[in-house]
Amino acid sequence: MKVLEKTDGGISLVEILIALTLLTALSIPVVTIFSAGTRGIQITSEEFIAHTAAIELLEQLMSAPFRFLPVGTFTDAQIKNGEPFDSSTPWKYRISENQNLIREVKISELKRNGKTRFKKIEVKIRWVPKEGKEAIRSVTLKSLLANEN
Amino acid sequence: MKIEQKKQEKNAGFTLVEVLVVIGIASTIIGILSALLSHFYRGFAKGEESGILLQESGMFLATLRNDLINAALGKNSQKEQWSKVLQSTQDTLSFSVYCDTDGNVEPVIYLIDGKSVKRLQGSKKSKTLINGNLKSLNWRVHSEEFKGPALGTKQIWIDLDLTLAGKEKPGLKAKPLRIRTKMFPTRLIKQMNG
Repeated sequence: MKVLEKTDGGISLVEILIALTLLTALSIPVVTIFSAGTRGIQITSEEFIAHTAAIELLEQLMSAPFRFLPVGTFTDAQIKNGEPFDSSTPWKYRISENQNLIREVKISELKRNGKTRFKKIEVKIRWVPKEGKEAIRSVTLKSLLANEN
Repeated sequence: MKIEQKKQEKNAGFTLVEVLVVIGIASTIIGILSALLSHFYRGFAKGEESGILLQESGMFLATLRNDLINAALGKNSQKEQWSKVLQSTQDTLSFSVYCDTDGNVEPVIYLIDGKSVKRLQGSKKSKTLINGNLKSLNWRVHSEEFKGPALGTKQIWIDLDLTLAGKEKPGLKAKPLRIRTKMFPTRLIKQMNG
């Protein structure tokens, strides 16, 4: 008779707590999946803006006359709107302001038979790292400018 | 008899306290679930809106960039006219692009029509690039003729400031997408400096 009384007693607090714990544990991955989706859209938006900044920089370097394109590595501090590419050229950077991006340009010469045939342009855009973290994400675009003379 | 009476008492149903506890737990779970669902719904709606804005701005920038690559002086145009090749007003941006292999050009016009942006080329049907999501669009044509060692060389570019905002929905405010960039008609610059 004692056994019958015990089984008819209903759900105990411990059972309810176990059920709630299981429900919470199962809902965590679902919440994570939804959050990842929202974060994914944010990343796409940031990458689109960085890609636009990279094209902006690459296009103006590609449109400069071959002789006015300096060779070397140029850091963000040297790439300023309205400032010349470097001291050897009058061509100026035209940069749209974006405090969240770090720009870097590498230009090297490709020679054949002693004559510079191409200039290789590499544009790298990095995101300003969050405090205490290293900048990992970046967008890189490369192109060749031919010497037509 | 005593045992049967006791069993009947046990099977009589739930007590008020039990029902209240169940209602309390059920309300808590339903409350948490509905808050989560509403959060997810808003996240989805915002994501969808952001996706549309990204797609439209991407399409607009890619089309304009592609047209600018093909922007050129016509066969019969004088090089001195270079600064007039790209024309901008508050609502329009116009220039000529190559339309065949013989070097002929035809006009392309980008037109702000309320909250939309349309592209017209020659006699072709107009194409809507931004459909009802435009908040603001400024395009200014700049040009510079260099002096000193680069005497006579010219640079021309478009300063673009585009802001798209999704359609307002009750309880949902999508983040506007702002893109500021400069565009360079590479071929035209080469043609001017060639």
